[in-house]
Amino acid sequence: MILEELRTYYQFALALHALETNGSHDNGVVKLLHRTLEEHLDQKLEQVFRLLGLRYPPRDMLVAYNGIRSSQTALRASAVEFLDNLLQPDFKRLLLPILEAPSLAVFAGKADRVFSFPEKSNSAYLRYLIQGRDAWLKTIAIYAVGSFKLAELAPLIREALDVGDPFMSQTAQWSWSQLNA
Amino acid sequence: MLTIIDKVLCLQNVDIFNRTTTEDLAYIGSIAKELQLPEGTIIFKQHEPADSMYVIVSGRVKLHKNGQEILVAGEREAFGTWALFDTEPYIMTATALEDVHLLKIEQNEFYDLLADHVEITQSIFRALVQRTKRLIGS
Repeated sequence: MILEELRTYYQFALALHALETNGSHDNGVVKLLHRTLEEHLDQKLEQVFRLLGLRYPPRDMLVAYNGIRSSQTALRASAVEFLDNLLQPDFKRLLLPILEAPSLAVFAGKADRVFSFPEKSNSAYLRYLIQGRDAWLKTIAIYAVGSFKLAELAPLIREALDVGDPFMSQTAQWSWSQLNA
Repeated sequence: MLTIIDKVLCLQNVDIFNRTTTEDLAYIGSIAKELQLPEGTIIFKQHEPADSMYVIVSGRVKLHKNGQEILVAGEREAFGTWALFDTEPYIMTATALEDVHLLKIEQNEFYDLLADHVEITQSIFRALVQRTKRLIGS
């Protein structure tokens, strides 16, 4: 479960980095996707620490989490050192690069070596988000497909037309109408 | 008719929602009703009971008091915001300067939503604290 959350964090970070570097920042839906991915990264990290609190002393994990969220460099460094000494190797291998990277760009460079997307295009990242488990990110990505008229992703939009989530199905209907306009 | 994403794109610019996650903005968007009003329509009058806030999707709205223009609000701007939190009457009149497309959020529906989504309440508190700090210059 913890490793799964960390993997998702890596993939969201790569998608966010791609959005930052592809120069579409003036577009409303891209900005919305960007903001939502940032929010989800924060939520994922909190979730990872909650799960770590089930494996390790919860109070220690809370203190470490507060440390890494701190604006004080010394507190963050102490929290990272503490986690480095405490966590088992497979957790450390994925968590510490997140905590130690000075910027998203640096982290994305490392993340790409762990979970590389086969194709680095807007379509590939939107496909990943639409096929993912997060309903809200899926909904925004579905809207982006219609907004950018990405016909190659039409089959995914068709599948979303009849899903139970009203936000998603309504957005898929709009996107579908854009693709067929 | 706007999609939920279109509504979120409007709501994300509203000051009191600037600490609310985009996912929670979608819940707020789900209770926001769309209104299309012709030029010259009085949206609410000064001294009327305040029960709704509005966000402009397109068009312009003049806010005036005792015959004096206070401001003109444009696309993606909000007005009547305090009606969500206060039962005092509106302190200004709002008139459509041209054909307008609005989102209307009613206070009672907003409170029902807050009851189910405590995280929205927390985010609004954070935004209000941020705004208060700005006002007192800290």
